[in-house]
Amino acid sequence: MELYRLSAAEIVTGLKERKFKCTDVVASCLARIKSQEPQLHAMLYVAADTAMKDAADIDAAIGEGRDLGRLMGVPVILKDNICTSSMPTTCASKILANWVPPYDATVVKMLKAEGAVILGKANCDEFAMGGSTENSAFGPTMNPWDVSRVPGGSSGGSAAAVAAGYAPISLGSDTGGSIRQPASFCGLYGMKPTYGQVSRYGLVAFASSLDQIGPFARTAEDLKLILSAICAFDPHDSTSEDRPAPCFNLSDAPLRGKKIGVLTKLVDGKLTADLQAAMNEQIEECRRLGAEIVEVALPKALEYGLACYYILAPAEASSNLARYDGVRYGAAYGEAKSLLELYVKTRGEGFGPEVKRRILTGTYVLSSGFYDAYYLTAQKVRKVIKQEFAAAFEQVEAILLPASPTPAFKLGEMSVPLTMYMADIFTIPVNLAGLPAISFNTGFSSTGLPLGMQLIGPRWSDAAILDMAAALGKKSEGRIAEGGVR
Amino acid sequence: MPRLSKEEVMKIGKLARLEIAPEELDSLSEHFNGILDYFSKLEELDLSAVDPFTVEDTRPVRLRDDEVEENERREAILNQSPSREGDFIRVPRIGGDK
Repeated sequence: MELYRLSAAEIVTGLKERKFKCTDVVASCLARIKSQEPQLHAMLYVAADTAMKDAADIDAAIGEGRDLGRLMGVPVILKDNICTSSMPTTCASKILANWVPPYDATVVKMLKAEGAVILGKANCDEFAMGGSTENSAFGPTMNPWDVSRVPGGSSGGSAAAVAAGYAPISLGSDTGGSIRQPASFCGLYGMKPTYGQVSRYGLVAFASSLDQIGPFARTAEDLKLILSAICAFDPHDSTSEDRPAPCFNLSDAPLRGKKIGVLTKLVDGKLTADLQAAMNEQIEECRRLGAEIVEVALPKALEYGLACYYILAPAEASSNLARYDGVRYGAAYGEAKSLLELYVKTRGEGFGPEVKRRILTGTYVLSSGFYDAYYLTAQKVRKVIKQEFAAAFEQVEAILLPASPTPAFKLGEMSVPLTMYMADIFTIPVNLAGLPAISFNTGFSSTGLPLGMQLIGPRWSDAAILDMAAALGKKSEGRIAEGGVR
Repeated sequence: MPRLSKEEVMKIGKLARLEIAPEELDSLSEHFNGILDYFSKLEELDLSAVDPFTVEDTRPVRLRDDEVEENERREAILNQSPSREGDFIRVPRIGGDK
């Protein structure tokens, strides 16, 4: 078997048992990248030389009998908005096209400390703004299950890379669904941990109160492995929680005796037929595994969550992206006769259309005279949505929802921004409430497209929902996509 | 909620320090007005009793001690600038814009 097909857990065990070398694993992954990239374009940077060198170092250490950590020799790919001191970090934007950060993000340090090998940086929507990876300044990524379709977004490159076998695990970021929706489109596990669970230090900020780093994996075991490596308190992130790291564990019957919330009435009519069928099947599967199904109500979250998010996230983005001004770092454009002209030209040239739309929206909703009507109102709605979830979690341990109302759509199909925004309806409320949620594959449509669902839990229930999602996703996990059109 | 004219969109662009090219203006204005219409949905809710700034579910903001530390990345940070000159960053004239 080709080594790129191995899971992270199999790589760690195989290396310990000296069944193969880390250089063989990395070479196999790099060859896979080389063969698939022409049809997928999932990567913005491949660090072939340093990855091979790191692998050789790991082989030498293993030869000396050393244990390098939980991810010893495991190839990992990072979304290109996670800072790496030895590789460019572009956020898929022209304005950061040549930027190499002066430091590693905390998660990157942690991965290296656990023995992971960083293979490179994955494509995404510019500054993580989008749901298809079509907003990348460097061109879109294609879905490895059907290259005429998008991999989802904004972490589409990270998802496509793992689905195609470039690496067993990758990291993305999720501000409104940017891990869970691409995981669903690409047939993977994808987790957005509780806000504060994983350090955001070194994650290029989009909307700081909503952003969260999280992993993709083909198996629940691998998701557990990488979460165990990255969930920890970080004094460099003021919103990181100083609490004991969760103990991730996959148990035999995690759903037995549990109450699982569903929203059949609210979801009715919003799903494509194949996803509706997948949801019904999963409800039955929960029952079969011993859970009780309880109808819960989140009327405001689903009805008003989108409007709330598309005020708050652009507001935060307009402030966070003010730092790109052509002076301290990033690109500078145009012959400017004054500082103001330098700002205006650099930002006008450096940002793509979607980023501009969001900066302008954010500037408007925060502007004098409109703040109360938009930003303050949206903050209140956010509070109401949090309370709604809190009430639901008095009744149930987790809520089962699709990650997206449709499977992967075609490139170019969602050309109107507002239509694209609507597709985030099931993921956005989770970010507004700071909750953990995990998407998992439930199988494939009649046309061969992955169908994903998500399980949402109360704050700090990350380990519990992973355990439950693993039981539901087990039957259809682990497949690698071969490209082509369906 | 109000509809925005193209002049107003240009003004927001100015506030955001973003050059809006003439060919972008139509689609931006259209998007803007579409999304503002959508936001008006929130007017349906009675939020008079909601205090958005109580944070019962999170701890107070954690601050680090105000201590001077050596930063070894000085050169790397200066080198990021597109217009470094020695230990300075050169920028065009400040002020005087209309």
